[in-house]
Amino acid sequence: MSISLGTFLVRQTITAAAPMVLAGLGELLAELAGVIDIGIEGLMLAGALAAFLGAFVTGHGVAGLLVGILAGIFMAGIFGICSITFGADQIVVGTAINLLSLGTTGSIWMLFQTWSQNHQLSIHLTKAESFNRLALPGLAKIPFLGPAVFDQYALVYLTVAMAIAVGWILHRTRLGLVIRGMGDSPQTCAAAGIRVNLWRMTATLFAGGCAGAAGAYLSIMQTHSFAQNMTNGIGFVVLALVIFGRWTVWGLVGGCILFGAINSLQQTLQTARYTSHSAILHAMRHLPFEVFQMLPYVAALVALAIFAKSRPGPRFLGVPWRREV
Amino acid sequence: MPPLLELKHITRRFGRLMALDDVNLRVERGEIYGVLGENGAGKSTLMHILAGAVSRTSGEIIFDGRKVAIESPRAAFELGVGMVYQHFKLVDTQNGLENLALFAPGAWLKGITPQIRQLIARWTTELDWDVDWRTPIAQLSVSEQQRIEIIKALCLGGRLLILDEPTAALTPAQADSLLTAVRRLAQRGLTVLLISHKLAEIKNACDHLLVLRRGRVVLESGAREVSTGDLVSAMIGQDVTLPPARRAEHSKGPVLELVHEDTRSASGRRRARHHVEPHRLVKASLRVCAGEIVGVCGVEGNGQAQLTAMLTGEAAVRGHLALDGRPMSARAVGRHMRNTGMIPADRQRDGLILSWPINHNLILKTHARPPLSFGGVLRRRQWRKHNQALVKQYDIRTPSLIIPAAALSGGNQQKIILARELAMRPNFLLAMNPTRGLDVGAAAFVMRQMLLARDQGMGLLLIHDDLDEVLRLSDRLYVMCGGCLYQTPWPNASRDQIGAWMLGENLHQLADAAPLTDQVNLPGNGPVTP
Repeated sequence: MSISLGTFLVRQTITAAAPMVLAGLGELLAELAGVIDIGIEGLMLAGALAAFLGAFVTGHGVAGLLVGILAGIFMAGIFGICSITFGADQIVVGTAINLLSLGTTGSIWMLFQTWSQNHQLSIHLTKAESFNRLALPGLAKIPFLGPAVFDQYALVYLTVAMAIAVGWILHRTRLGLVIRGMGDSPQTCAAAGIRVNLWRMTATLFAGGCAGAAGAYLSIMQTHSFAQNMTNGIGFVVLALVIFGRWTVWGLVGGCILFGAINSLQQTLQTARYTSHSAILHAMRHLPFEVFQMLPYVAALVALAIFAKSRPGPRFLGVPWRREV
Repeated sequence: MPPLLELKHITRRFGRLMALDDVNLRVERGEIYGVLGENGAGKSTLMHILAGAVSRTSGEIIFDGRKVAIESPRAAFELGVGMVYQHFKLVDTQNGLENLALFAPGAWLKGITPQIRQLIARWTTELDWDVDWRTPIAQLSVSEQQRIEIIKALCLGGRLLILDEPTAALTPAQADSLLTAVRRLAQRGLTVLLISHKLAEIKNACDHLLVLRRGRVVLESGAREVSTGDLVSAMIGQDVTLPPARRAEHSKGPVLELVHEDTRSASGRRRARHHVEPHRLVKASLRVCAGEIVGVCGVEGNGQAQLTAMLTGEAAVRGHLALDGRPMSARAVGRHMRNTGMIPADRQRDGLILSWPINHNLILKTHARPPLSFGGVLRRRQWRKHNQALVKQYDIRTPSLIIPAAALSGGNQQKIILARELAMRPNFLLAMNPTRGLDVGAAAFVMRQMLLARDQGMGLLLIHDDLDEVLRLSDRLYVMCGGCLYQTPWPNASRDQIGAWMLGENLHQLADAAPLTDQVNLPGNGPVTP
């Protein structure tokens, strides 16, 4: 089915934004609870590789996704034990997790490549092993919007549902009050009989699961394979977007869509400059492709500088909780 | 009927420190018990044990005839014990309703339920209070926050209410109305445990009094059968001599001159919310001379915060400000802070670096001066000598100078600040609530030091909630109300008159912001005859 350029751009935007929203929702929840996990990049990377291997071994995409989520939770568990249970500095532990994950996934991936070459196996997943776009019956037929919005991976729809759920929990339930309370005043929550560190750990593991799923999205859905350092800084962008969105769900989603839009635009520009007959695009042929890849990050910096009026985040963000006395 | 609460041989140990040593207590229903004691005497620990925030080392708690183990705050709520902590347990980005929902048990996926609203309605009618439940806590005044905190404790508990220094941050009028409300609740069967440092107040409000010293109950008696003197000597084990009420005979050159007038209309500001607006300082004219103590009293939230901010250079003055005789911009005032003495209102936030050791805290402001440093390098021997002298002179009680300031009691923390600020011999000292939360002995010490500093020629500006202490210390007095500063004819005015002015009554008797062009206003020279 051929689609118009506009539809294609919207579709690519959503495809690019979804994993960031997914990982961002988890991170948002953890940060509101007072835990800043800058290891999110590492969690996504671990999720991506684990999901690929899971799908490769079992032959089922869903099993791969589950393995990816578990890998995220496992890495978040390491982070949580160090920084919540033992009160280590969250920034330091998060950085360590990033480095650990980059190194470990890189080594495993190299071993896997050698092994698959020896056995003459493809490092790309088959259809059954991965996810394909799931067109929603009926809705996908709507002109322009249909193929753009309702012809996405299953996890995209799940992400939308989760964004709504997280927004509802944060602002309409006692659970949300407790989560936000732990970031702003953990001593109040403790006085209310809430076990702060237990709940912070839960939020952190949830964030790990989200990041793992987002990583799985990159490997077994978008590319059907893995690549060394395939997250390529998306985790760090997510960290920035949580702040950019001023710790709200809608701010986060908006930021992710903006970033995804610019990203899909620059990808289209990169190809279009060789195919189009427009003089301007033609002139861009001589630019190195890195200039285009740079664009979303430049845009993110500019947007942060313009829109992100400083609003203090959770007051006890990154501060380990210890009972007084 | 058995007593509501009975404590048998309660002991609590923190490491080598015996915080509570064999405490026995019977609490009858519907009575108000006052708990007194110096800072660190164990009052708070005892209350925390009842509220489930601290566990006991040994001993028995019998509640309503049953032996209970209060092992968590939740368990305390279930028994009907609600506690109002001295430092409120409220999430200040959330509003009152949300804070209550946060504490309500169970129902994770429900928000503010009808049951919560019913409970709130019940207690607000019972107390006849008007409470703003929809504004984030941070934007409410301390007394409004306290009302929410008390209603929260009642909703959660409802049988035994524990109040930890509830009047420390209130004006006399607010404190009176709070204690009246508490008495009304007690008449309807609520039992109350009340911690306070203010003897007169606690003697009036309570049925029974209990004095703790070093973790032991040293006195237990009906409130009417005991004299204030007995209480004081029971608390600190000796008599206290309160500072003499001697007035400065004459004033010298001004160390602080301030003329401020904010002519912007209230409607022009971005949001004229009633609870934000009163913090603005509209009109002020103030002079402090060397060798006198000038008091400023007023209900909290009438512009004190902005006055302080202007005197520390955090807010700009619309008019004229001179320190030590030199006119200064806000930025210059900020730079001048290293020469200005200041006792901040929140000593833990603005006065100390809590995680730093005492010997560092003692030289936060003076470290760059000779003889403490030479060419930017600290001279350790001088430093040690300096600190030892201060510890001795200001009676700072600590096992060592290298433990963090956070480990000390409030009184000793305040002594560190006092020692540091007075040791630099500033011409001008700004003191905000210098005795807040201190026990009688420590408060008297702080007041004595301030009077001593005055006699040595320092000019002091005292912004204080405790009217009695302001009156005892001040040579001249201003009243702050509705963002305006009024000069009073003190000492030629009565305490009741001043109390009325603080509440905004009869203010026409006072000329607001007396002009500074004439000579120094000596006591009694105010433009008014009361």
